[in-house]
Amino acid sequence: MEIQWPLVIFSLLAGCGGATIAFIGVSEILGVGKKARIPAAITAIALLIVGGCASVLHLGQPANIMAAASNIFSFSGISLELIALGVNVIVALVYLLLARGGSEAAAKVVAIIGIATGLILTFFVGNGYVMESQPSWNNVALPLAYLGSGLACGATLFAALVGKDEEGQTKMRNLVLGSIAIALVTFVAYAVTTSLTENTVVLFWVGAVVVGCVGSGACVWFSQKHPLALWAAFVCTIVGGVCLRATMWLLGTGFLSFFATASSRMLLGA
Amino acid sequence: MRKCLVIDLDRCTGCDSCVVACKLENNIALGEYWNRVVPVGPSGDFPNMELYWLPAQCQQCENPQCVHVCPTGASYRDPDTSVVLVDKSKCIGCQYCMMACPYGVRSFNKNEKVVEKCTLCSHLTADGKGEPACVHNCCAGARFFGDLDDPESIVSKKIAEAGAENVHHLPDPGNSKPTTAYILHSSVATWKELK
Repeated sequence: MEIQWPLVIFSLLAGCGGATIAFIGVSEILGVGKKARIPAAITAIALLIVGGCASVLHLGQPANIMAAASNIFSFSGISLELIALGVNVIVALVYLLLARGGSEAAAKVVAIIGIATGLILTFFVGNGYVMESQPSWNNVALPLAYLGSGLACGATLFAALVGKDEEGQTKMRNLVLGSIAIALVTFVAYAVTTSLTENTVVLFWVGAVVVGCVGSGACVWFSQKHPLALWAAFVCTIVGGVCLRATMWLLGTGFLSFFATASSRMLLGA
Repeated sequence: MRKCLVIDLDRCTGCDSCVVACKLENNIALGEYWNRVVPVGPSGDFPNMELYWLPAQCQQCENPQCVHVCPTGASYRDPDTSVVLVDKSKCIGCQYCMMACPYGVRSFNKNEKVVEKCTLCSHLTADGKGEPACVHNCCAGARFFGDLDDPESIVSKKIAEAGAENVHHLPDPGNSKPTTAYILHSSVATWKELK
C-alpha cells in the first residue's frame, strides 16, 4: 500500500502531543522540570492542532472533516481519534489556564488526568489500523509500537524543553531513557509478530530501531555534557516514528487484494 | 431479502466482458474498476495442469467490515435488498473502507474524491425486474443474479443444482460472511483456498 503521508504526520504529531501532555503530569508527580511545563503544554497544543490539520489532507476534501465531526459518536476509528484529540486539547488548555493562574493544586490534578488522556490518544492513533483485512496490521503490537514511538518523542521533547536542570537531571534522564527503552521493546515486538518484507527491513531496523531508539538513547546519554543533544535525541525519535509508520503502510497488502492483483497481472494459487 | 451474485466458474472464460459492461454501465473512469477477473493457477504438473478464472467484485457481505469502519455512515447495507452501498453525499473520502475490505474490491473515484463499489447495478435492479450489466452481458452465461432467500430465484436454483460440495465462497478472515457464491466442479478445477 502507498504511504499515506498525511496520516503519518497526523499520528506522529498527535502521538507526540499526547505523550508530551502525559509527561507534564509525570513531571508534576516527580517534581522535576517545572520550568518546562507551560512551554510543553503550549507545544503539545500546537502539535495536536497541526497534526489534526495534516489529517484532513487525507480526506477527499479538507472540509469533509466537518462531516466526520458531526458523526463523532459513530465510535469508528476516526471518531475515537477525534474525540481523544479534542479531549487532550481541552486538558492542555485547562492546565495552561490553571498553571498560569497560580492554582497549583488544581493544575496538578489536571496534569495527572492528562497522563491518562495523553497515553490513550497516543495508543488510539495506531489502534484504528488494527483490522482483520490487513494481516500485518491486525496485531495489538502495532498500536503499542505507536504508543512506544509517542512516548519516546514526548519524553525527549519534554526533556529538551527542560534543558539543563541540575536538581532533577538524573530523574529526567532515567525517565527519557525508560521511554526510549519502551519504544525499542514495542518496535521489536511488532517486528517479530509480523513479517517484514524486503523493502521494509532496512527502513525498520535502521530507521526505526537504530536511529529512532539506539541513536536517540545515545544522544540522551551525551546530553550530560551538552544539553543541546536532547534536541538531537528528539529529532532521532521523530525519524524513528516516521520509519515505523512508513513500514506499516508498506506492509499493508490486504487479505486478498483482487484489484491490485489484477492490475499487476499476478497469478493467484499458481 | 439477500440480493447477490452466483458465478459459475465452470463456464467463465475470463473474457472480461463483465468488466467492460460494468465500466460502460456505471461510467467508470479509465484505470478504475468495480470488478476484475483474475486467473487462479495454472497449478499442477504437466500434463495434469489446471486454471480457472475468478471474477471478483464486492462480495455483498452480511457483516461488512467496510460498513463498520465508516465514520459517517456513508457505507451501509440496504435494509430492503441487503446490497452494500455507498451514499456518495456522505462519503468523506477517508478510504478506511478500502483498507477494511478483506477483498480489495472498492475503488477510489479520483474525480469525485469518494469511494465507489459494485452496487449490483441498483439503478437497474431496484424495481426487482432488471439485472446487473455484468450478468446481462456475460457471453459465457456464467453469472446469475437474484435473492438468496427466495428458493425459486435463479441463484438459489443454481446453488441447489450444483450441490453443496461444488459451491464455494471466498475465504473469510474475520466474520464478514460474503454472500457471493462461486460454482466450481472438481472435474473442471480444484477450488483453491486463497490467502
